[in-house]
Amino acid sequence: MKKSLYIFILAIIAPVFSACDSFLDRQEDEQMTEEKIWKSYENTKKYFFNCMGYLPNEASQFHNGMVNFGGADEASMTWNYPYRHINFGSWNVTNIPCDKFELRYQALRDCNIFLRNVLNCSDPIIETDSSRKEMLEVWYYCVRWARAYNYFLLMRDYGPVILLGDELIDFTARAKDIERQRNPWSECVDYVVSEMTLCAEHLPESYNYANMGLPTKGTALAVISRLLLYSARPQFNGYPVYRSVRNPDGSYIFPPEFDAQKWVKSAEAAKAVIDLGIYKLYKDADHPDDPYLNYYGIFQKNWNEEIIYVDGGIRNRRDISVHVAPTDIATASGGAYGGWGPTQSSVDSYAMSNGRYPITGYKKDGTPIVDELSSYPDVENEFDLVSIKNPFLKSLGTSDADATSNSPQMYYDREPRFYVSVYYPGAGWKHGSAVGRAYFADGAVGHTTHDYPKTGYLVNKFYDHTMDSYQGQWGTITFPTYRYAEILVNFIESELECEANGVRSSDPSINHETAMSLWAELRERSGLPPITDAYPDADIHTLIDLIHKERQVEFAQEGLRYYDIRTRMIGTSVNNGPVYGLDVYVRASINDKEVPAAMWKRAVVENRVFRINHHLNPFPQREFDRNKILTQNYGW
Amino acid sequence: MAAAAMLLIFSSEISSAQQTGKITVEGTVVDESGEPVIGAGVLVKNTVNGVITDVDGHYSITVNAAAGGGVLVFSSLGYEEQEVEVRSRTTLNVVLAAATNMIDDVVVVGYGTQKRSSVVGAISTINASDLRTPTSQLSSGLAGQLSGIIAVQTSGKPGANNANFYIRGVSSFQGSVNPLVLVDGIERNLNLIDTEDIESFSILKDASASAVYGVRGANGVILIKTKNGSVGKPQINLRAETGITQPLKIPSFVNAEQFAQMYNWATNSEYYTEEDIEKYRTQSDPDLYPDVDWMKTMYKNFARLHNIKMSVSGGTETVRYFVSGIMYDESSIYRNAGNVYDYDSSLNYKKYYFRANLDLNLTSSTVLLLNLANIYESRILPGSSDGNIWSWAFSISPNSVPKEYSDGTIARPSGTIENPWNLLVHTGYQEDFCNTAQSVVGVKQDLGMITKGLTANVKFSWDAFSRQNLSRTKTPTQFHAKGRDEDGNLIYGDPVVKGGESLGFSNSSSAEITTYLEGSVNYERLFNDTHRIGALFLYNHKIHRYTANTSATNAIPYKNQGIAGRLTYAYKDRYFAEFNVGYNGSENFAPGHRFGLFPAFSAGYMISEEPFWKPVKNVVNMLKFKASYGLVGNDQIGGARWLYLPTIIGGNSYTLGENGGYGGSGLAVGRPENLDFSWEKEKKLNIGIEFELFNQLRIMSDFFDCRRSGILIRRAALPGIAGLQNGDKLPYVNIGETWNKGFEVSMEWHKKVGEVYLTSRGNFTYNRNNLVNNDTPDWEYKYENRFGRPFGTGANQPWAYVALGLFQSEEEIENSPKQTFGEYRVGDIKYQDVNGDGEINSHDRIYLGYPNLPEITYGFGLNAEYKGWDINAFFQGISHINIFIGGTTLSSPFSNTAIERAAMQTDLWEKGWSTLTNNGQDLSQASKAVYPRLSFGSEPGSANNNQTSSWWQRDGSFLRLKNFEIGYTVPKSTMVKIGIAQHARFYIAGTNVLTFSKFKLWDPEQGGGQGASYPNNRIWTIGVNVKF
Repeated sequence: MKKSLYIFILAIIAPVFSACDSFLDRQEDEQMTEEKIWKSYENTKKYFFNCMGYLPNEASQFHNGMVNFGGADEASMTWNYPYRHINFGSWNVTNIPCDKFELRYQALRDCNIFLRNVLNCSDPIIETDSSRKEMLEVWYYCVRWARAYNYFLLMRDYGPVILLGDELIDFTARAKDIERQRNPWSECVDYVVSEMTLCAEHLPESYNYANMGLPTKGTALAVISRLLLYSARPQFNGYPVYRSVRNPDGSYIFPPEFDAQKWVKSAEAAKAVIDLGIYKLYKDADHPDDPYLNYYGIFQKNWNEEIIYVDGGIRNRRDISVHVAPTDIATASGGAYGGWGPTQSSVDSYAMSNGRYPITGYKKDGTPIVDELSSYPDVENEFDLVSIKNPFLKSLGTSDADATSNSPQMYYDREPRFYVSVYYPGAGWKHGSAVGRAYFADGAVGHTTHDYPKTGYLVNKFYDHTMDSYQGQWGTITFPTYRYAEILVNFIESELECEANGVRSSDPSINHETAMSLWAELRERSGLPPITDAYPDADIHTLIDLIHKERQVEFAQEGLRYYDIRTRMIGTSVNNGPVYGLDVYVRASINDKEVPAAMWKRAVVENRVFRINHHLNPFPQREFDRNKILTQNYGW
Repeated sequence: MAAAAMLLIFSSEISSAQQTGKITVEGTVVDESGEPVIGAGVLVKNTVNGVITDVDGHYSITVNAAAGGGVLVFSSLGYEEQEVEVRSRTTLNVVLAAATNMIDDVVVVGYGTQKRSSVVGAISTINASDLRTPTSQLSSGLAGQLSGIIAVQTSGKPGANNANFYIRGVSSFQGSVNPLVLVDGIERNLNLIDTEDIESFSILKDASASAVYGVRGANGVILIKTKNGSVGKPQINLRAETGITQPLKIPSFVNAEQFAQMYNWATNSEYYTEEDIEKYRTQSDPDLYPDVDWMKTMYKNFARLHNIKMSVSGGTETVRYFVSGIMYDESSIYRNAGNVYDYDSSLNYKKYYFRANLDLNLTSSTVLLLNLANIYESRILPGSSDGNIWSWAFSISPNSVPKEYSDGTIARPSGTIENPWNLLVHTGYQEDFCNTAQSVVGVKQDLGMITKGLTANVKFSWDAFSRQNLSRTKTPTQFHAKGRDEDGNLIYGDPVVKGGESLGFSNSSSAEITTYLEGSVNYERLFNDTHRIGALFLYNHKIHRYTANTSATNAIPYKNQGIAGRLTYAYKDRYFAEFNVGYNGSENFAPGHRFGLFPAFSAGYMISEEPFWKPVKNVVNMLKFKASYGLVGNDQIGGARWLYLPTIIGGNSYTLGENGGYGGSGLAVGRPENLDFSWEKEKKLNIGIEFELFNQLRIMSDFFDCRRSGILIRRAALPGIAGLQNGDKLPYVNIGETWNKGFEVSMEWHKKVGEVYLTSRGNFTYNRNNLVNNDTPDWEYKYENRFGRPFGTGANQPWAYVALGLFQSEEEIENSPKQTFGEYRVGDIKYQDVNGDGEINSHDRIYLGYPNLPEITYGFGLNAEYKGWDINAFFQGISHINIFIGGTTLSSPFSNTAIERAAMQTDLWEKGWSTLTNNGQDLSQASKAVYPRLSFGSEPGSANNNQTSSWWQRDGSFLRLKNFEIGYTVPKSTMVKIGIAQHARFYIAGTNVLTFSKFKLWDPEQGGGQGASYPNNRIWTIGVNVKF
């Protein structure tokens, strides 16, 4: 009896004492795990999408989420989005408009996780399908490119940043142990350039239909070109006041001295893209001599041969069009929010059809100084009305009557890019086969809600005039984040700077003649004579000035101007003080056919504040509270 | 098997009967006062031969004549056990001494018991009868009773009037701070145990006492053992009591006339004319010009409770039993609709409770234990939620609508503003049923045949809890009268809310099950009367599941597994050393990181047992020093389960392909993997002293120092460059730290003065818990750092502006730093510019006052007995606690601009700036104002005055007469004459009889805010306790 009892007890105790860790295993419920991601080709692809998805897409973020479209001197956007804080100087270390600092480092972490794992993807399907195996390698270099590009995006906003390389920062570490000081600009540039160079060696030159939109060899080289151009410009090339910005160990964060060789490197980087020979300036296939369609087509013909990179891929064009289409014209009532207004200074920046720039500067009171050789009217008469047959509308096939308006002679006889880019009030707005007219005086068509351009002008070139948005047709857009023309302009500016600074590349093809012929090619596409025809006596400094103007016009409203202002350190002169437009606060009625005469004047639209420190973003205060060896940017 | 065991015992009886030569011993057992002890057990030592005493205390027992008849053991509950050698005597009269805690009894410790003298851990025990409370919730009787326990009760709601309790304060600001409560070794709800069923109640406070609980022990442990039967004829114990409960205090509100005046002041208008105000005053038209005191309308002044408890215990050597049952019924202060409906929607709580504890001797060395309990609770609730009822009662203006219109029409101010009376009585009712089943089966085997002192235990338990809610609710059709027609009848028009005519039905349920298995081996032996050695080795595991109304994640079992061990050594009961260790883990952590080792060392020195102590032993009867140091853990760390696993989140999507058709949604690692994710760890140091003077006064004092680390927090110090600054990604890590230290003293005193027997007890606990690290950066203004600041439960030390007073003049505003919370005027709150930058902004907040948990808790009581009379008073108090008053009825009545929802407490009328100055007309009284100028909506002053500031901070300290009881015990001689029962005591008792506090608006224990919840009660009961 007793024995049996002991056996009974032992029978209970024995299994109890032999129990182990497995008792505590979580009951299986087949959760998604990190390992499972890398065991599946499809899930690996999704992680790839996640990494790439951190990159901006300009075709939908231009009005909110990015500040470089609304924060430059070329436009005043109506909506109360972050760029307005920048324009009015109301920003500081705790309020940084569109601060992407944390997001970029999140992207870097995810990219590093992906790069560690993608090539080890163990989906059995890879063994049987070599194309998928190749795709893994493409993704690897795309994400490596994306990682470097995230640094580039950080650097253009914050200057020198903190490089992490392949590191995943230990999230359990004490704040003290993960403090980092800023890497000097030269290290940041070297890192991005070497990563991009490596990617350029491995990325394909182009993709099939399914992968269009991914970065290519050309994209990697184009980023290098843009970065090295910025790096050669004053901001990052010995700008004196930045010498005071140093790391706690005393080292310079910004290059303390000017280095002319940076212009050589920049020229070589641009030349590398040109030498690929795979990009060319877009021209209309049917009318290659129509400068209007040539220029307009860059933004209309998807995936055209001029485009080097489209960030965010092909997008619905409605996003961008609806913000540039005059309200009530091309849509049912309230269906468009046209409020992206080019400023008067942007309008003034276009050349006349003869290639000369009419406005060479402004007097203190804002009156323009006119180049008498340009054929621009006298300042007193610039708003005198004349009959203008808009040549762009003609190119689009509009009737003479629809293309013609009584408009100030300011808009008469300007270069083709003006008519493609700028919508001036009273002109026809073609949508599909219909043509409407809008102007923006208070109460008129185009100004019936809070959505109207405060400057009185609208951006024209991004809207697809061949589609009838009234019927809800907007089309698609491949927004040219990088296009070949920029590389040419980068090259010309760099080459001219090399000449001005007395340095030369070892590559003999980088010379004045190449630069001038590429420049002529660019202008010819838009129906302009070579610059030397318009300015026969230009010296090297004038030419540098003219290539800046060329850049401003060619890439108007494309998001480049914001960083050109910053890297050239000209914000305090060009984007400070009154901004001019037409007087849209003149009363009008929606039934008025004629633009009220009182609207035709240079009126102050807003007063901007741009101080010397605004050329770079501050690092966020949150970062300083946690990273005690971080150095703030100058003046913040 | 039971039959076989019986046989076995039977055979042993036969064997003893075979001995020749028997003698009969008889005598009387009395207590110290000479009263006979009825039902005392008389047992021949080391046999099963026993009898019990009769009503005269008389006994008669036959013993073997051999060896002089052996040793008789006399025992009775409440008395010291006594052993007497027969030495062939035939008459043995015995006086049993009353047992008190001061005598060297046994203390329940983790997974076992110890002699009190050998305890070196910090353990408090209490007589269960001291915890007795008239309510259904055991925890409501805890406050002030034991040193080291902090208990706070915030509600007197029937069935929910439990207290939150903590041992030695709180040491975590994220994880659970609740102690582990073990009833008969199983983790169970303390409130479901009845005090009458408790044999022992211990709290384990230091590491040496709780290390065996390892990863569960850091918050302290409460051990409750229920009663078992003892050999003897059935003892029946009946207690019946009935009583009334009264709210301690419900805030009072302004009447319609005062309301109208204040509205005019706040809006700076004559919205209410003199004529209107006159109508409110005279109540000439209570339908259109009502003046409702909503508190009195909705709540009664008292409610009732009834409580009947009965237990039976007894047994033979083979089977011992303890069976008890309870019926409890408590009503609420909620009124019902009267005769309108056939149901009563007023809150009511009933509890039916049953417990049976059985011990069966299977063999002479094997005992089978069976503990079964079932607790069934049922509640009737109003159709609307309690929160809704109280918040609308604290929102509606006195002049908005009458309770009901005089013709019986149900009233409601508007579609968005509720009439709380309707919520209370016109929205149907809910029924709520809870059933808790608790079962333990165990086998206890004496392994003395292997080696003396060795025992083994196996215990298995399964508990189940289920709750069902049946709701029969509706929204009634409600009207708002717009005026009167020519005949004087009220004009209603369309209803404000069109409701239903019948009750709707819905139901919900929840359920949990828990199983627990424990096996242990125990060893205890005394060698040469010098070396006392003890050892324990124990294995356990627990599985807890939610089986209804749960989520996919919570439905996965919660598991714990562990080993515990103990070694004790005592030399001549003078020097003590002890080593405790827990090695356990939970399923919540990563494989390989699930188990933790929690060792604790302790030592004690009973200096009073030393020979050299003899000369002073009369004065200092006992003196003991003790110290312990060890590590314990807390796996209830808060946050989601399995935080070590990385989460997989949606991530960014991407557009790809010529037409955009080849991209898609993304996938990303959210929170990163963290295998080191773990439990909280606490290093506990305890140093204690115990001494006893003149055989009357016993004092125990402990100093403690607890440093907890590994508190789970989301990283706050991570810089953005870590790439995790995102709600889905920010990791949890175990890096929070706290430091909790304090001391506690408890004392017991007893003395007999003539015929009066006096006992007194008291305790005092002070602790401060400081936050050491919560991973926030070192801020620019150091006073903003939270490090080094105390914290409470779910709340830190208040972080608030320092109010300097109310602005008395325009000049004062002009000459003061600018305040940046919107416009402000004379009569609004003025704040201190802490950093001196000339502006009051968010950087001017400092940490001030105490958190929401008292740093000091104390209790003391005195008990006197004289002849059959006894009187007992117990006081309890807390100190070093702050509460904030606020809410619309005190600080911003017109913040919601609707005139119908602007209830105001009377205090605001009596001490408000607007009243005292007649809205700024006469500033002579302004300095007496306790409430700032009335503001309307978001108009000037509203935002300024509603900042969290010292202006609204109050001292939450109080001292209360928690229990007061007078009883009369019928003399035994009378009882014997009556002949029905052996013992009868009648008593009248009060709970929360008196409260002394600076805070007067409502009971301070209820907490801050505006007092808008079911108040704590004063309870008066009369009862009788009869033993058969």
